[in-house]
Amino acid sequence: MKRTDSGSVSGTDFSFEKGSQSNVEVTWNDRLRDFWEEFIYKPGLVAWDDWRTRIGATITLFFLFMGTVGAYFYRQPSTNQVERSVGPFQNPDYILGTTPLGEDVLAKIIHATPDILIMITAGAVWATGLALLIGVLAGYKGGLTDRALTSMSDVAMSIPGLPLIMVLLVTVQPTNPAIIGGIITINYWAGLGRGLRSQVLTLRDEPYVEASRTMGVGTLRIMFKDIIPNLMPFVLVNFVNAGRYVIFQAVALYYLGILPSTTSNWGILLNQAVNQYGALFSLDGAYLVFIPTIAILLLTLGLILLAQGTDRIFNPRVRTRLAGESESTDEEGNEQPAAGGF
Amino acid sequence: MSSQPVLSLDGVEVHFENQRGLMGIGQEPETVRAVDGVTIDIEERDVVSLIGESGCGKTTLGKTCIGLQRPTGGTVEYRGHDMWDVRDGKSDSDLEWDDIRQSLQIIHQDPGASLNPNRRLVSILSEPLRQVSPDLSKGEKRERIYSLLEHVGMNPAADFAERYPHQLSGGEQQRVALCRALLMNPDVILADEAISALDVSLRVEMMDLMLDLQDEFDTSYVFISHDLSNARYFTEHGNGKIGVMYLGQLVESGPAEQLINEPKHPYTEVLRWATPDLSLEQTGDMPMRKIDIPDPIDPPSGCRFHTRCPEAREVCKRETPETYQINGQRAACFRRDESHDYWDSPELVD
Amino acid sequence: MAADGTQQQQSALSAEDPVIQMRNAKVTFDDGESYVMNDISIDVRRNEIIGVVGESGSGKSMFAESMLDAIPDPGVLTGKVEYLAEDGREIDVLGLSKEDLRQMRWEEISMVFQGAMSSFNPTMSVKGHFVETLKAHDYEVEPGLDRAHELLEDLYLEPDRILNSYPHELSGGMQQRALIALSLVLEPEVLVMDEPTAALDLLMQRSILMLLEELQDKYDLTMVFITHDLPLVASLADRLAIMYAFRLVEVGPADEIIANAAHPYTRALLNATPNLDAPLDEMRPIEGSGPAPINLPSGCAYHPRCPLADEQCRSAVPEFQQTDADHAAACYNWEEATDQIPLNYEDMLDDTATSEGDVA
Repeated sequence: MKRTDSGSVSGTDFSFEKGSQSNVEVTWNDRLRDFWEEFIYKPGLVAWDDWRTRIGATITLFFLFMGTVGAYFYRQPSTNQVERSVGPFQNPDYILGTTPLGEDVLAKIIHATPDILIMITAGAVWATGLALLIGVLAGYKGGLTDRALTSMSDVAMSIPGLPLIMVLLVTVQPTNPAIIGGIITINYWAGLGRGLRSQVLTLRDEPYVEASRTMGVGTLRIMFKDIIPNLMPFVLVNFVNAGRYVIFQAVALYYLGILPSTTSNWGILLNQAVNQYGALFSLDGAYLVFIPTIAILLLTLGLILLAQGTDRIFNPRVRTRLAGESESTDEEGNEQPAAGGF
Repeated sequence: MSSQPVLSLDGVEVHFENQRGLMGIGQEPETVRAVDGVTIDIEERDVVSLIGESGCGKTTLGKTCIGLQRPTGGTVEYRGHDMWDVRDGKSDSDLEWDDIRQSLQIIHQDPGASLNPNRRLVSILSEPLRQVSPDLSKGEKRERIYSLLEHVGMNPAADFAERYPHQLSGGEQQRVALCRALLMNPDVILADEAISALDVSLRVEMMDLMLDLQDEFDTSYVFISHDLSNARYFTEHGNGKIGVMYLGQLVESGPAEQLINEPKHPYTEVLRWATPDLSLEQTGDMPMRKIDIPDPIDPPSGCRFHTRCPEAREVCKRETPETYQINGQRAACFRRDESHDYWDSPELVD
Repeated sequence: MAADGTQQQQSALSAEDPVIQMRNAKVTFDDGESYVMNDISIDVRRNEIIGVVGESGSGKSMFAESMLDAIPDPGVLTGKVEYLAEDGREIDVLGLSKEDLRQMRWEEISMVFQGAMSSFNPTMSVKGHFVETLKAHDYEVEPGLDRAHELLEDLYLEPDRILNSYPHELSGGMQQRALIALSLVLEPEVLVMDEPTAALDLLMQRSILMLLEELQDKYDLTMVFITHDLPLVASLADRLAIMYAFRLVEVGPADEIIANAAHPYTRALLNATPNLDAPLDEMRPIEGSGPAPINLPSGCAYHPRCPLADEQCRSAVPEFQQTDADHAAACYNWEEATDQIPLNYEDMLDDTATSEGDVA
């Protein structure tokens, strides 16, 4: 499909009754195919195209795999299941070594993953979702709604985050990772909401939004069809960043013992390693600290890399170009720079 | 046209206030009189072109016509009913604001920004159908979209319908914007500099298309342009009238050929001088006494054009001309009144 | 400097006293895979006003930028671009060092872009811009500011008021005029303008054109005026150069081209441009669509839309043919153009020629 100016107007009179020369059938097959292409295939293509996203996606999928399939099949950690205090890479049965209590370290890592994933997702969804709702409403509606919502988020922003989280956690003592995730991001949404609001303020005056208003399209529909899709790059990047924030905070809170150690988490592994096993005092025991740390680093890295590439998924130019649908050229005939360039 | 005009503006004023000073305290707010007393009618299947320099208020007036801008003074009537009364629920007609809203549409200047970059054409064009014909099935909607796309020259329609806006050229994007407006089956479409961003060789084509579809969709156009040649082409082919605006007021209006060949207001003559043509005649020095437009916040007294008018006289500073009618043209200039004091008044000297 | 090639064939493209000479100038991206300006050879004559006309995508902006070697990366400019100063120096523009190039720009050849606002630093007053420019080129500030005063007055601006204002405080028309004054403060010989009036409205456009004519006269400038709007530049320019699909297709005196354009594209363009005098029925849009840059047609790029196209046109790019004294077009069939493509304002031209009547 080349991008050229098409032919000129047909000379005949126009009428809807004449119908069209093209096939207008829309079958279920078509719809399914559309869905597949738009939401899975093309985003996948774009994600794969950039080396950063490729690595980030691979790592994240790896952890996802570990947290679902891995946790299903691999054995649960329990005391005395294997030899105690064995270093890593010494025995293929317990490849990452064992704790002084005889638990398989790999099992501990794997079985902490599902909770961590749930926590990250819950936190990111809560933070981004609320920010989106509030930011878009405030930005689009303006006036009183805007002032009320903005004041609300200003208050939320000025409450110091960490102390609030700690107080809440100690009071509520949650064990459900989703709730923990939500509490950790309790006021993360406020800053994000402001950023979204300013983007919406710009978008609101775009001609195509004015055209929708002129057609009488309802506010909610304009928000969902015109404004939010054009915010998605910003939203996605911040979604992944919120997830990253959650891991860090969670690990720190578990390490500090503020979060109960009844749930499994790599932060708890760290806590145990340092406080119970004295891993920081000898080189032999250091692996008990390194391994959870590397897991944390790896997941965080994966999320960062993924975030950096996700903004392109929503760029229709990139999507169509990679799907081979069009040559996207600008006025003076310059090709858009190749992927991985700018 | 003996039937009732679709839109009737009477003494319409649109004033904007700019707050000045710290938080609005301490200084009087400045009022920008973007539109200052305009009376104009738009008939069925009419073409009304508004021309003038930037800051003359033509865009504001255009948006007021189609209900996107609420006037601060005067009335805007849709088929005889004050549209803002309908909006506020105070009208005694049984018109709904939704119906009025749907019958007044817009085409913007920048084709690239007037289409949502994240939506395919078929989705963009389904939106108007969803508003006016919600009972159509998906297939029926597609059929209409495809047939309209084919008619405007985008063939094969099924192919084009799946594209995103960035996969179209500027001319094609603007045609899609036109299709979107027409699918609402509107009574009036505001074309706000709709052809200015297109290549010169595409402009005539676009104007032809707009006029061609006027009959099928039974719609009028309010055509805003800063270019007199384009306005002339469009208006004359559409059998309509041109309105010349200056600093928020309508200084002259009339049928295109008449207005251009026999201008009745000095400002129209100045616009004619300024329009490039191919005659290559030395058209002489600048007729206006000043190059720059006065500040709209503090417009000149009396006739607003008196500071630049080549024919201005003392009386023009003091008195504001009313609108005189001379065979189908209307002009707000004392020179149209043979008995006015103007003729005895001394010339203005800078 | 004599032109390359046969004297006869290229007299429209060459000059006795050229100020800028371009030979086979090409701009490519992607290592020579696609051209965005192809094989431009033309002389700009001293003290002339030449209008370069082309639609979007014709390469006209590249043409302007080539004269100052200002093609943005990753574009690559090849060929010869020479500047011949009044005192006799011949400067190979493409071979200049960065420092020499910086000096040459603004002191010898100056450029004005469309949309003045983006050429100004919003945090600096207009006077600040002048002072900075003068200092950057080691000119004395006092006499420079005096010159600035004079230039601003020539442009119908109040010098003190303008100099003390910030760019955003001025209207579009004032900004553009201030920019023109700024570009002339170092007394360059050549002024290159790329759509300088595009964002302005009618009266301001016309007034600026008039001012440019006065400036050219007063300061003995050479002007290159790039635009897509042929009628706009037709009365200002001495010569016109028409571009299509990255090449020059016609060059000649402005009135000659208006009355007697030789290239089918030029004639079609003249017919498609709404103007006040042509009969309404005879305005025709140009058939067909503009060339896709990546996939130019073979031979003459205009052939898919040209009513005179034949085998020769499809296979080989036409060379320039002399159509009149000082008028040349790159077309094999230009002789048939006059008959086959009538200009819709010819009646008006006849009237102007035969009588002194008003063109009203």
